[in-house]
This record gives sequence, C-alpha cells and structure tokens, in this order.
Amino acid sequence: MYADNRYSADALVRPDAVNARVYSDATLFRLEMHRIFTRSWNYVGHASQVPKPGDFFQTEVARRSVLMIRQEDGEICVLRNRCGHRGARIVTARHGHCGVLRCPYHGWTYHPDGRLKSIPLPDGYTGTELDVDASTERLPALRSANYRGFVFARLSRTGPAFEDWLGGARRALDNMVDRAPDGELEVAGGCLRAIQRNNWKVYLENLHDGMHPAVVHQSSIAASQPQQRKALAETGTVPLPVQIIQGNAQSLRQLGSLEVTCYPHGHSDMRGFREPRSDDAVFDSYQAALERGQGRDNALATLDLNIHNANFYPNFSVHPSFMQVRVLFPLSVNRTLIEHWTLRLKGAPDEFNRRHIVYANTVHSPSSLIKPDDLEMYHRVQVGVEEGSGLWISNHRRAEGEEDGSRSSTALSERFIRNQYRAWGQYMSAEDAG
Amino acid sequence: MQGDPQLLAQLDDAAREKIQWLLDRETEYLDQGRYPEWLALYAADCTYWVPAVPGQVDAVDHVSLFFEDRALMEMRIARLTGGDAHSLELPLRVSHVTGPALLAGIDSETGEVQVTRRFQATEYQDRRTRDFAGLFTYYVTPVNDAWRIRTKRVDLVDCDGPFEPLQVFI
Ligand code: FES
Ligand SMILES: [Fe+2]
Repeated sequence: MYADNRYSADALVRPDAVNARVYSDATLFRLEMHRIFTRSWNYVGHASQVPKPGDFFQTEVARRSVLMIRQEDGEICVLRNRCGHRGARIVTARHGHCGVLRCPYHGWTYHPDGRLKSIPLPDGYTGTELDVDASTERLPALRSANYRGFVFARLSRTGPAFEDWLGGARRALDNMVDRAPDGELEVAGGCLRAIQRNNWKVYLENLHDGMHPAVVHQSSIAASQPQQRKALAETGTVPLPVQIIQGNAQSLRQLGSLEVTCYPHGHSDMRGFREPRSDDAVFDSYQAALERGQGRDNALATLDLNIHNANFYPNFSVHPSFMQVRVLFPLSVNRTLIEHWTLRLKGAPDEFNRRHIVYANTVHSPSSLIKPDDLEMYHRVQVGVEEGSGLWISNHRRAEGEEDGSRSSTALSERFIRNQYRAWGQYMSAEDAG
Repeated sequence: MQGDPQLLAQLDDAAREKIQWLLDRETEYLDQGRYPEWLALYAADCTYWVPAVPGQVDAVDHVSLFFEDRALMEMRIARLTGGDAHSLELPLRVSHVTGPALLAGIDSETGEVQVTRRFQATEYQDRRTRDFAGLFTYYVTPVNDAWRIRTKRVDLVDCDGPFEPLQVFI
C-alpha cells in the first residue's frame, strides 16, 4: 500500500504547495506516525518532573505510552510502558514513584531501567523458548537525550542523531535556561490540555504566521481596547492579560520586522515580538536577580534574544520569554491534543514567575479569549481540506528568489512552512529500515 | 436553602430568600445570555474561578481553566456580545440545571456567606452538544441592602481533562 504512488512525498509536496490530502488522509496519518514521529526526536518531559530515583512521568511518543523515569545513578531513562508478558499497560498514573515496576495483570516485575526483575512461577518456563533472563524480555528503552533538563526520545533505531536533529534551534532552549538567575528551571503550576479539531500540521503552520492575528483575533483585540483605555486612565498601567491580547494588534510593518529563522529537520524560531512588560518594577527586580546570578553582560544578551516561539518539529514548541512549553500529540488525522506546561525560573522573584501563570491562563487555557478564534480557523481549514484532494494548499508567500540556503525570513513569509515540508518530505521518503 | 440547622438559624428568612433569588438569577441570566445583568449580580471586587485540578487551593502559582477579576469578566462579555468573534459566528446556547442551595458557612467577621450547589449544564453549538457537571461554590456578601456574589468557584468533575474552547461562563 505504501509503495502506492499516491503516498509518495513527491506526489504530495511541492516546494511551495502541498496537496490537501496531507491533512485529511487517514492512511497518510498512520504513515506519518511511523515515518516522522518514530524517527524524529520527541520532547518527552522536563528533568524536574522526576527529581528522585524511581520518580516517573508518563507521556506518549508516536502514540505509544512511555515512562520518563529517574534511575539510581541520576540518569533519566525513557521506557515503553507495556508489559513484556501479554502487553498490558503497566502504569496508568500520569506521574508517581516506584521501587519496582509491577505489572498488575500477572505480576511480572521490572527494575526502573526496564530490566526484568522477577516472574511468578519461573519454572513454568523451563524448557520453553522464553529466556527469562534475556534482555529481550525487559521494557524496551527508547533512545533518549537530556539537553539541559529538556528530555527527548526517539522510538525508532533509525533517524537523525540527537545533536544533528536539534542543531541551531537549541538556542531557544539555551535561552530559557539562561533566563534563570540560578541557572535552573523547573516545571511548576500544572498543566493545561486543549483539544483541536484539526490535523497536527495545521497547528504548527500557524505559529509564526504574522498575517493572521489582525484578522483572526479581531474579537479579543476589540474587547481589550476599552479595558486598556480604562486602565491607563485610572492607574496608568495596563494589566498583563490586556497587554498580552493587545500583542495581536501589532501592525503588518511590526510583524514584518519579526525575524524568523529556519533550521534543518523542520525547526524554526521567531524573535522580536513586542512582549508585554506590564509591571516594570517586577521586571526590574527580576533583571537585577538575573544580573546578580549571571553577570550584567550575559543577562542583557539573554534578555535581548527575545524569542517569541521556537518550534522543534514535530511535537514541541517553547516561548522563552514567558517560560511556556507546548507539547503536541496527534490523536487522529483530524484531532490533536496540545499539552501546555509552565516553567519556573529558579532564583527569580515569585512575582515574576507568576507572570508565566497569567500568560498561560490568558493564552493557553481553554477559556482564553484569543485561542478559540485560532482553533475555529484550524477547524475551518480541516473541513475545507476534507472536501476533496483536488486542492493544493498555498505556501507561496514571500517564496520569490528564495535560495535553499537562506535561513532567515520574517513573520510575513511562509518560509517556515516550506521548511517544515522539506523535513516532512525527507522523513516520509526515507526507506523503512527499522 | 438547606444546610445545618444551627448555621441556617444565623440567617434570617429575608436574607435566605435574597441569597436564593441571587443564585437562581445567576445561572438563569447566563442561560439567557443577559451578561450585563449577570455581572450586576457580582460585587465590585469579584472573582470568577474554575480550577484546573480537583481541590485546587491556589490560582496565583497554578494555572486555572478560568481565573478572572471584574476587568477580565467585562472583557469576556465584550467579546461574547461584540458580534465579531469568528468562533461565535454560530450561536452557542447553554442550559443549566441546579440542585438545592446548601449553606456551607458564614464568616463571623465579614458576614460573608458560603453556599454550594450541584449543577449540570449542556452547551450546544454547530450541531454538537457537550455536558458540564460539578459543584458551584458562591461567596456572597452583603452590599448595602442587597447581596452580591464576591466569588464564584466552579469545580468541574473533569477539570483536569482536556477541553475544547470554553467561551462562556459556566
Ligand atoms: S501481562 Fe503483564 S504480567 Fe502478564
Ligand atoms: Fe493566533
């Protein structure tokens, strides 16, 4: 079936357009899960979520349940969460602590590194093919990498090496760690989860789209204007949520000055966004803490980078200046789950870290005044592409004269989408080796 | 209003009736989309809170599904009534059913009264319905001659689950 020409990347992707079927074909979706999501690196979680040996955090990679689990020696392993006996899911809790992992069906137990510890009635296997000591009976570990606390895993044996995959996009992660006065981050403040009624790629293709805010977000921009005027008249300062919403009211000229940088493997980041800084006293006390911790020059360079969002293809996006982390989980060809986490800067004033919670509530919570209009448009694209395959989706904007090597563009260019499809084509046309 | 007889005895009949009227109007105005009248039931320094985890105690260091002061409530109402929200192009309708109001506490210093009531709500938009269920906790406070809601807390049974957008107050 996959040899079928209709599923070859060449038939679906042109340098500046893609066939509507990439968003609507369920067979293609299964192929993507296998060829993209098992072969690329996926963000799994943050090391601070499993501080002590035996602590685990459950998530998914390429639609498989996995456990990020801290070992005795302090290393972090990512294991399949599926019993080697009859395949039962071992852990259902989102996070917890274990001495051993014990399957609740027949009681096979595993060490936190996935090695088999014990099997009830071991002599039942005497003279059988099942070697109860063999490494094949453990919970398989994924290849994993811990980049300054951000933990990634790859399911397939084949695929890019981690350093090669991350490449220059790492600067956003470096910047997040560098923003902590004590040089450390931790996940804090809980998780928000949002369901989108669209293919996973529709979401990734919106993240540096500077053409949409003024149109899509007209309702929240309009609703925030009276509050902005009132706050200015009454107190002289504008509340943070109002400022955040007003960020979408930037002119095309401002959005055209946002610098978007593309990286190999589909990653990209965008810098220069007018980020709200509502309470200058709070910001100043944070900056003072950062200068004390990291030195004045380093602190200023760190704050100056100002990345609004960085996307690590295919499942991870961060917003360094507000310590926001988003993880994408494709549920089906037209359904996507986004998990949202907030990071706390160690050594920063509590008042400053609380701005990250306000940002999450304002932008990423299901009740956001901004987000429903984005999701409405993603869904409208989805129902449009599901109407038939004759349609080619345009990614042409600012493609003229684009050289393959040019990595820099603006938020008014669809270059970052073309860059995502270059990676898509590479993953999808690679042979099935393992 | 139901509740512990000793607690109930601390409120006179008129106060109980006024609080009952206030809470009945609260969900009724939501269902009728009468948002300015709905907001008028709230005290000046009001809060509307929908926690994101069961038993959540803190909305400052932890994310919430909604955590709004009066300014944010006004902003949501402006968007709901502004006529320019793409995601509200198709009408969104809600209907609440509420259980008996239960007097849960009276603050001896401020006179603020805590009332809980179970609810179910059905929301309809674009040929789809979805259900909400849980517990309302109201903190109502005497303002001049009337009672006003200072805080409404909504504990959804599925508060830590994933959600499609929540556009209207629950
Ligand atoms: S399925 Fe796990 S022990 Fe049998
Ligand atoms: Fe948007």
